[in-house]
Amino acid sequence: MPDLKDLLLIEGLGRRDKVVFDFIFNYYYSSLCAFSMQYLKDRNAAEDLVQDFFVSLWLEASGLQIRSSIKSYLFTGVKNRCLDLKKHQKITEKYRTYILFSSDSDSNSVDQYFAESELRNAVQKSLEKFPPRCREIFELSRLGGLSNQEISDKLGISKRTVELQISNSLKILRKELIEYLPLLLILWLFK
Amino acid sequence: MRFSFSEIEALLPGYLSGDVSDKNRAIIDEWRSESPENETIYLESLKAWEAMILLQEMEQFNSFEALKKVSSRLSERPSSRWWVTIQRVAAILVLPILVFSGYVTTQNFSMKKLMEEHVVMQTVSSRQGMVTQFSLADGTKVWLNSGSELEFPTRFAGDIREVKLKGEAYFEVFKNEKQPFRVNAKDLNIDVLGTSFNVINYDDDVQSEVILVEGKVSLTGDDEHAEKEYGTMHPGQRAVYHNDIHKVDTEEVEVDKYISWRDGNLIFRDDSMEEVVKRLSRWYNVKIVINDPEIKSYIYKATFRNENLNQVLNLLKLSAPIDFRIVERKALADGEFTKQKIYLMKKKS
Repeated sequence: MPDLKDLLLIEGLGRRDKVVFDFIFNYYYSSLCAFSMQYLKDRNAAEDLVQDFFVSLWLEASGLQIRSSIKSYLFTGVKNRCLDLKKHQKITEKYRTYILFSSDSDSNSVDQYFAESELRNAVQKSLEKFPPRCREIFELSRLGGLSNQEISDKLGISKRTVELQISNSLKILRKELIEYLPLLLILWLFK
Repeated sequence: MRFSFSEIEALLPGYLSGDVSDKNRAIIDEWRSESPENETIYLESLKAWEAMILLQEMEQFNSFEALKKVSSRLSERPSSRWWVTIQRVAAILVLPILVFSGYVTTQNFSMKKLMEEHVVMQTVSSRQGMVTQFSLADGTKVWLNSGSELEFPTRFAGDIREVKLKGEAYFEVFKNEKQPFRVNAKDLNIDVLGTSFNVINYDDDVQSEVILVEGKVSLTGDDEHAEKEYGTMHPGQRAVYHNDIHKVDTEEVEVDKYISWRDGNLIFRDDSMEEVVKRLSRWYNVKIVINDPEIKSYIYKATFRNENLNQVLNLLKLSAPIDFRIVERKALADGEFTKQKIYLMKKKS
């Protein structure tokens, strides 16, 4: 069920209010692209698909029927388009297995996706709870793409310490992010 | 072979990144298959592990650019039979529809205006003697020093995140390359992507200061001095902008001294008594008058932690040839009080 804020947005879309449209676009665009990229594995294709989706959302806005949340409507819509596109491209056996596998968890899983700003807040909040050194090491490893050996050389500490700090960070992050984690569902399904 | 959970946890990052020996991989594989709970922990770890990467992935998509493209396509119309019918009707009813759409357009405009104005400006101020800490809509953290004021929008729309500072504040800016962060301090603009720095910009001062702790910031003049570029700063530097001559001087400093106020500490390192007095009077909201000009050039070194004004003054008296006299607050005719006044003079030997 859409909540009050969603109802206002849906109503705005129905009136073809460009300001409402822009707001929804800016809020969800990047996360929808990242989501669609998981299916299409191609940045441009992912962006094109999401843009097409928004164009048709606007064109069909007056007859729009949204009974779920906006978020879930957008993610489901993009996902269906991705799957359609993949079908056109002759999907592989492995892929078909995935669709079968995921269909039962679909209805609730899509609601668990987040906009970029929401994920950013959650990650940021977790990182703040790290001891400073721990955070530095974890960021070098995950964002900087440095190997444990490189971090150990750079900071002048033993490789063992680096490993321990990273595993501590992961432990904290897992506990802090626990309610946001379903968001990443799609990522591991494709591993 | 059994392993303790903490041993398993220590192996997980390597397993997730693929940088793991066959033996350790087998250990984790076995642990995962032991129970559904283990598998859940594994999946949660995997997702936490990917969270930052996913965020990074999202950040490479620029919604503002994309929106421009999409907006230009929104006038496309799906062609259908009903549309042809509508066109015929429209041809007959051209005039009333024109009138009606004119009406709708004006309505829309006022709606738009209303929505745009919906970005409300908000001001947070810090009372004398207190440090206020809060976060902005984008996740940027702000420490506002005693007697300072920060003006910011409830959400950041547009190409730039702009806030306006009076007084002193420390910023930990959330990194977002698509929407640079700007602190406006009188005529000076401080532009940053994501970094930590301290800004001092009191109205009664003829200068504004920026102390950069980490990252990189660039300094420019505001609208009236828009063409002025004052260059970029590096960590550990302090830039002083002179409002009267629109000039910036930079120097290397010990940054701790400048950001210690966040924890309620006042640190002085080889500062002149004039500087000490300026900071003390802001911190304690009192007026301090130096009676002997000679005192102004005394160099002072001290760290105050949560001391009250009397304690600080007595410490000053003990450690420097200075004496003080306090004039208590007086009630004025309109019911307000004057500030407490303190006179500093040379100690009589």
